[in-house]
Amino acid sequence: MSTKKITLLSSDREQFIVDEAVAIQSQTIKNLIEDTVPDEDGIPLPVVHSRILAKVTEYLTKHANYKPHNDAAKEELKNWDVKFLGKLDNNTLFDLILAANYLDIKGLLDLTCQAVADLMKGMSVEEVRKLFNIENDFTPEEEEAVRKENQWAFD
Amino acid sequence: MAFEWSDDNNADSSSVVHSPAVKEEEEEEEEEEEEEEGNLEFSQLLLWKASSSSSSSSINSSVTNITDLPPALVSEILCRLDPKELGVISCVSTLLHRLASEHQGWKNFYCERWGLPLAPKSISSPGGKSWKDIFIERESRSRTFLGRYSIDILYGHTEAVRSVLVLSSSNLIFTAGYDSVIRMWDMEEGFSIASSRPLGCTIRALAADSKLLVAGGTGGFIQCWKAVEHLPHLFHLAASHTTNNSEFLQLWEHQGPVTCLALDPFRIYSGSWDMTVRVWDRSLFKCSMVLRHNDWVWSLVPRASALASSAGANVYFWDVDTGDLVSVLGNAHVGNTCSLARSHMGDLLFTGGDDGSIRMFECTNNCNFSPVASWNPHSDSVNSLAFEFPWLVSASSDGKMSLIDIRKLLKSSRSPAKVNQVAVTRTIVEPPQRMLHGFGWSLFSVGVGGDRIVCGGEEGVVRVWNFSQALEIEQRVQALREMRLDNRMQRRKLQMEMNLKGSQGHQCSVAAKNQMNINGNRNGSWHGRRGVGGKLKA
Repeated sequence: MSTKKITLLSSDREQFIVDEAVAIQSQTIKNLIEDTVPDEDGIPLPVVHSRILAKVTEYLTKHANYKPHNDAAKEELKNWDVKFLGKLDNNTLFDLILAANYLDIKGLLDLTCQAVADLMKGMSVEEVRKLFNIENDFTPEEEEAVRKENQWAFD
Repeated sequence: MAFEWSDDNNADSSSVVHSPAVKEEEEEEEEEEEEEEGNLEFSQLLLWKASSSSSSSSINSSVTNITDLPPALVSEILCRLDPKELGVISCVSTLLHRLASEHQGWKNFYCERWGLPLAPKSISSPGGKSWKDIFIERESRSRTFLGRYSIDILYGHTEAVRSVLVLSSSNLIFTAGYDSVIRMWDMEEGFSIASSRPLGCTIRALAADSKLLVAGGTGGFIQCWKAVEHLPHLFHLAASHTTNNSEFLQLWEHQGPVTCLALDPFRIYSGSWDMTVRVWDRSLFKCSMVLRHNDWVWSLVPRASALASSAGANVYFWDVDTGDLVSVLGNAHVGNTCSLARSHMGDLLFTGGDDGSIRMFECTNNCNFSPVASWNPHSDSVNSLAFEFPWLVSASSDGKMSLIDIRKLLKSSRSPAKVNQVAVTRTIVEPPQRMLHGFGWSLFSVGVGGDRIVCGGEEGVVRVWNFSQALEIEQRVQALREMRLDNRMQRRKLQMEMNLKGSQGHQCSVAAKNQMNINGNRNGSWHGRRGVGGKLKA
């Protein structure tokens, strides 16, 4: 494994130093390394906050060092993912989705989107609104029509 | 051994080489951390100076809401939900309604369950319905088998009917049996269209799509009819060797009776009591593969390259691209596993056995089938199964058919919680949702399509349970009930108004009393309503 280090720079200009093998799991970072002359401070990621980038590197480090070769290892990695998600609040989760999308990390995007979807499962309309703090912007007539349209989902 | 040892040795030596390197790395990291601290101070200074960059970062970190995500990402989340959840989500807000309603997922849901709809032209047209509408329409029709039905009886066969087939896309039913004649019927109207010449042996299996019809039986050969262009009913059933060779073919290779047949776009599959399944190239009509079993083959279902077959009590899974046996499900039933059915995507497998039970398996990964549920609706062998989401229909020698809605089971087994997995391995025994009692004769074959259940057996007639009017009847009943309720409410309301007026009248002046007396005389509600109507007119 190459020991070349990559420095990532968050939007609030905090530096994160990771192995190259860890960093290039992100397609975006890989492209940046190849295409751009490295900045003195590191590779700038202007839309990812340090709070989120810390989480991203935590995920990438785990997944780079862990090439699952058997079922037990896969299982362990899965458990780690569950634990990783368990520590996040909703806002961080959405920020992570954005970051994973921007950095083009498929595994993390899948994981976080699935987590949000799991949160929604089995919830009523009101519960979803409350959970994600979504404003009900239907007019009463519209809402009635929409409810009627989707009546089959509530049976 | 020597090789292994040297391998180990290599690993050891490499680790020895590595460990100092690792230490170096750690040291490096420490140094870098120090550097980092220095840099941080510097960067903080930068931040103080460049306030604009800090404000942009604060915007980025203030995403608090799912609706603030770009639509593509919200869709990414929504595609992990099932149809009902998507329906619920679409009621949350206007944005989610738009995203959830236009979602590509609806097409996938539909195709996973039923394949592409019959008339895809109507969907692509701009004025056509969205996939969501199509899905919901189909979903709501899934209640039909719980509704009322009428029974049509198709007379024609002189002996027991061994095989029935519904080709709802072409509005056709095919039947065959001991009298060695294959008959074709109009599905909607129920009249006989054509029949084949006697083939000289019991016909035990039929398979067809819009291009090809195949039949097999005790003779061991497979009879093929190619569809004839411009023919309203696809096949020229009455054809024989002398009349037309190109549309009428016989495949001779099995050493014993053919018991089951299936088609996919490229292949013909046939199973036989000679303990083999043969895979035939559909364009060349040549046998391309022989899959050997160690017992009589009873049933088979292909899905893409994965073929499931049952021989004796076992169920076998084959990869038909390579011809490899992928896995075996031992002793699925006590006695023979007579019948198989699979969901459209092949992720669900149903087996019916001599013991009268039906089992459901779910494909977890690569042909690993885990049991989900079982039913014991029959007292005799389950001869035939047919599946059309969400209904599994079985026909048994005890003369009954059971109808099973599998949706409830899917929900419990697919939820991520681990508690359910334990329950799954124990297999739940479920009651069927509905039983259709036949007429005391053994039932050999069942087919489902176009809101109909078609069944043939010992009796020698084919019965069609027609549910196509079930929803309409239900709607009419519902409408009548609502009308009656409405009437009652109106009557009650009027009565209340009258009573109210009456009591007010008592408290009011003498002048008002006169008026009340007029109203008060009309006691019945019917009169009361007339009175109101009169007042309105005035």
